[in-house]
Amino acid sequence: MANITLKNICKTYPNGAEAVKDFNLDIKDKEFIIFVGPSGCGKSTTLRMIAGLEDITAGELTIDGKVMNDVEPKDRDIAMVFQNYALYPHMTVFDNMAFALKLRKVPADVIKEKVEHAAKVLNLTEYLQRKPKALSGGQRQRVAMGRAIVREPKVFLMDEPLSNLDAKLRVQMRTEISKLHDDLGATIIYVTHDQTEAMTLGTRIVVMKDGVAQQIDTPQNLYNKPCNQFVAGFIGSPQMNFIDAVIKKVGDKVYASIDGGKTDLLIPAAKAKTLIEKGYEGKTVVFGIRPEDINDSQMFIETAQECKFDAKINVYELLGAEVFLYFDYAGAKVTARVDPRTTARTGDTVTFAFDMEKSHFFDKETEMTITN
Amino acid sequence: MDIKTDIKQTLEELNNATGITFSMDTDMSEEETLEKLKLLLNRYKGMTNSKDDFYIKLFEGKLNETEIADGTRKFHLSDVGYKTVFMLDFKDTYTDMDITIITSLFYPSPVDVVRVDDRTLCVIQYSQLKPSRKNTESTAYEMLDMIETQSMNPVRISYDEAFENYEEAPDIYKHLQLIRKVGQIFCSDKYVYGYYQMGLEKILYLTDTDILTDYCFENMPDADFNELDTETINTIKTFLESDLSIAETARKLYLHRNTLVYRLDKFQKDTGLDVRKFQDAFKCHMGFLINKLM
Repeated sequence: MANITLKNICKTYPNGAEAVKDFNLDIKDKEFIIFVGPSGCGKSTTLRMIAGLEDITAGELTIDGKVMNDVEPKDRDIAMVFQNYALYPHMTVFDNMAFALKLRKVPADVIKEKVEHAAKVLNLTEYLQRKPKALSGGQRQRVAMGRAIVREPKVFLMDEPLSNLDAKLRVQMRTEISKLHDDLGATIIYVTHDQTEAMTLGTRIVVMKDGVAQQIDTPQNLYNKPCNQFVAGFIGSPQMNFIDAVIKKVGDKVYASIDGGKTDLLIPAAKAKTLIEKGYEGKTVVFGIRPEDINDSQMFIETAQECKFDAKINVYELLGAEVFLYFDYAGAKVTARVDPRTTARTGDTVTFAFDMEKSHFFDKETEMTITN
Repeated sequence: MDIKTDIKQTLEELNNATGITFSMDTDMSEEETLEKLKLLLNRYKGMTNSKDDFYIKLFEGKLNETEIADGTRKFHLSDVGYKTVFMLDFKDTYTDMDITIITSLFYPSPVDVVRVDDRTLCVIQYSQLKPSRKNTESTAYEMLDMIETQSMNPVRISYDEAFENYEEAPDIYKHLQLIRKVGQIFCSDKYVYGYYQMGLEKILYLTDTDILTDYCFENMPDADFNELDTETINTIKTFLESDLSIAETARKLYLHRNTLVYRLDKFQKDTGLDVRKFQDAFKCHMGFLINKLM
């Protein structure tokens, strides 16, 4: 069991820099929590405070109800895996995994049992007698994880463990970590700046920026219902398109007027109601739309006559299963993700239509969502 | 030499060796007193006559050429090749486990671990070829990660270039002492400090604070870096680190270009610094550093 609670956690360095501000999170047993955000957002600092490697300036950290603020790192029953998976070069895989247990005077038969179990979980059994130099990068990273597993901690803390691996290996290891979480049934807190890693691994994701948790939610909710413009832009690749729009009411219908009134986009009833009720009529808001919600198919355009527009394609990018079309529209750089069978090419003027059911609206000043 | 002079000289030698000023108040005979003093001095010399003691004295510049030569011979220290010193500052007392982890990480390459005090270790790595800066940095990070994951003991590591002659050791040690202070002031969120990585920070640390205050007053009269919020600080710092590129900064911060431009404009309005221009960007960088120092 490992329920972790972070209550009003703050971290201020001696030079006055505030790394983490009023961070609150309840982590349930066996959850796979991801801290994600750009460089310097405080995600690693938060992880290090949980580990005890950084002092907590204010707030309370509890593990299974016990306050941990002043408990030594080694007594917190946690294990860490970092990106620099340094191994003892002269030791075999078995000895590398066993070393920390030997230093803690764990009996030899217990060590053997734990190492063999970890090796089995990590598919390292046949490599136990090999030295690190005879292993691939992915295998070495698995040995580093094995060292954490043999300690049978309550919580695993992983700080960008895959960032030193090449892209192909990272994808492979991502799957293995996910399987590892299922096999071990352990609580894992994982730090990454890679939103794909976050989306594929986490049961819940904490999106951080400037030391503040912006949104804590499931991957699906973060994608579909971002709480602010930052989360909307951070989650998803290519990122969500943002265009300034003025909310306009004509009769019963509400429009997002774009490009100085050149295009009026009909807003679906539920979203329109919220915008009007919250007093945005006549005001400028930020209209957000994901690349896959911009369509160039004739069938869609015919059904969305009040959401269509023309644009000249600047760049055509074929990725095999999909095509990215880049163009300028209403003063913004816009990306559309379309079917690879599209006939659009660089230099063509193409008619597109927004899927307004999937549209997002954000307050221009606060950048908070209006309609989600 | 009479016995009184002998006692006086021995006492002086003891004072010099230990750094403690002893005085005598005893009922013992002069012969007994001299015997006890000599015993004490020899015990102290024996206790400190270790490799650790040799290195500490070497680092502190207390050894002359002959003593260095004697020490390297006595402790079988290699006179050929390069030595790299890493200074490890533990938040709490280090343990034998930490030392075992370090020696095991370097094995079979030769390495010495010197106990400077109960929270500081110096690791001396010997190599035939001069290690590159990149390799030295990577070694420091490996030690950091290994100690933090294996013994879970928070540590910060300072390092400098490798040196060839033991006579260079005191300068290297001074560099490490300086850079650990500079690192903890300017980069308190980092755990590894390379001496050659923080040039401007070192200059500022060694500059009189009045001069720095004057610099800020003369060049940035409207800027109060204490009043800036975290979002603004992160935005401006990322812009400076991105070579003043709006596109790169917007990408790194997941911001719309217009939002970034708005923030830069607001920063200019608040501080008088247009960081899109090199001169103002440099002043701003100085301002951030001086603010951390003061």
